[in-house]
Amino acid sequence: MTLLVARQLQAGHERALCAPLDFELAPGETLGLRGPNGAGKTTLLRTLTGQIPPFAGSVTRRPGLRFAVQAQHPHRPRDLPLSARDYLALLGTPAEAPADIAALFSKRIDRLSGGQFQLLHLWALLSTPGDILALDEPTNNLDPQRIDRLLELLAQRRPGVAALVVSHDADFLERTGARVLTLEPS
Amino acid sequence: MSALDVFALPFLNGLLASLLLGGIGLLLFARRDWLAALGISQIAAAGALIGTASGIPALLAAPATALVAADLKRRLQLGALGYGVMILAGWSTVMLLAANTPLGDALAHALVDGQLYFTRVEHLAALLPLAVALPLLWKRLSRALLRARLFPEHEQANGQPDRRLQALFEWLAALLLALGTLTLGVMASFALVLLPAWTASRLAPNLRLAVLLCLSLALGAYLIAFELALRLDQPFGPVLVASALILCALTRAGHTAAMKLTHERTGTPHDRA
Repeated sequence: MTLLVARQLQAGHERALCAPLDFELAPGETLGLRGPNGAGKTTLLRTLTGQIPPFAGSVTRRPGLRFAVQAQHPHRPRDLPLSARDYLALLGTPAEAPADIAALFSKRIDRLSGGQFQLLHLWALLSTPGDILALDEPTNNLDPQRIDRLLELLAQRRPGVAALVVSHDADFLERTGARVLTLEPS
Repeated sequence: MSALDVFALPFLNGLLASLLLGGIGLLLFARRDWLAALGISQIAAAGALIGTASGIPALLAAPATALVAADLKRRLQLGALGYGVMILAGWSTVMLLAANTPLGDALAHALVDGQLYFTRVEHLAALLPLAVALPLLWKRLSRALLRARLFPEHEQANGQPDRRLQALFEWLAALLLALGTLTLGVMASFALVLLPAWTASRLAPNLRLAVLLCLSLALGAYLIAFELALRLDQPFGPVLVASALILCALTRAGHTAAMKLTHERTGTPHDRA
């Protein structure tokens, strides 16, 4: 059963940012969203995940659909006494994790490097029960080695979990095996 | 009647209020809502004075006023601005009532300085349900509040920001701050909310230890203040604020020194140790 259907969809707040889009997302599928700056990639992702209403057109989501949403700039306050383990527990992530993630468990999140935190955040979302992963520029702060690690984690996600991936990195999108939708400014 | 008999009940009231304020302070701080403590405390003090002037017991009037203020602030979504308005409105009301009503001046002083030694069994009866409720609700409240701060997009996409839990937290905080104001005074309540939470949030390596450190600092500041205020015959509120300031400053200094020592021994940068 299709998870999500967009018809003549345009995202935007006060004006449409992109030309009308028609697409569907099936279970297990990866859909890449790319386009020039200002084409509304992030706004489209927020529209697809129901955080803001469509500017025009429609989005139909399968009832009971659960999202795992990564913001373009994940929140990492410097005044919270949270270890990486606390951080994962907040999302209900299982205690078992790969060695490179488990090695971060005892560190405070505000003392991780940008790349370490990004990978921790992505792992948390990948492990969260959800039907669609919505990732906004997931390669931010990641060096080539960690981008490879992210691709591994994405490939190992639970069967049936779809992914919506916004990225300016065409090579990364290609390596995810995504069907790529290029946004045209309206 | 021995000194123990005279001071046992006030001591217990203050102890409970201090621990509860320290605990709720950590959540207010995590929510960046610590200014709420001063705003709600000032409004509660004003409510207590208005109640007294109208023949309503302060123990009813202060929590009721604090609850109304917290609810209004939440509905109007004023953020820190709302607390700024509360501080100004509360202060102005307290000062005007103090100047123009019989007993107002004495009560206003008591609310600002702390009236711990005059607290009664009614204060204990009001604090005890909160002392039961807060630990029971702690896990759910802290999880909901932290998720809302760290994963707002995720929460919004899944329709999960639990408004009822957030409202419950705000009411609990308002009640606690009102009772804290009536027991310890405006500034002492504010100090117990802000200083231990700030210190623990900065130093603790994880949430569990932050809770422990926060409660220990609140408890330590209270015990020191209780002893010193009695021995030196000083007003309780200012002594508590001073003891909290000094204890938290010493804790931070001790932590920095320990980190430097670790750095010297291991070569680890001290901000990463």
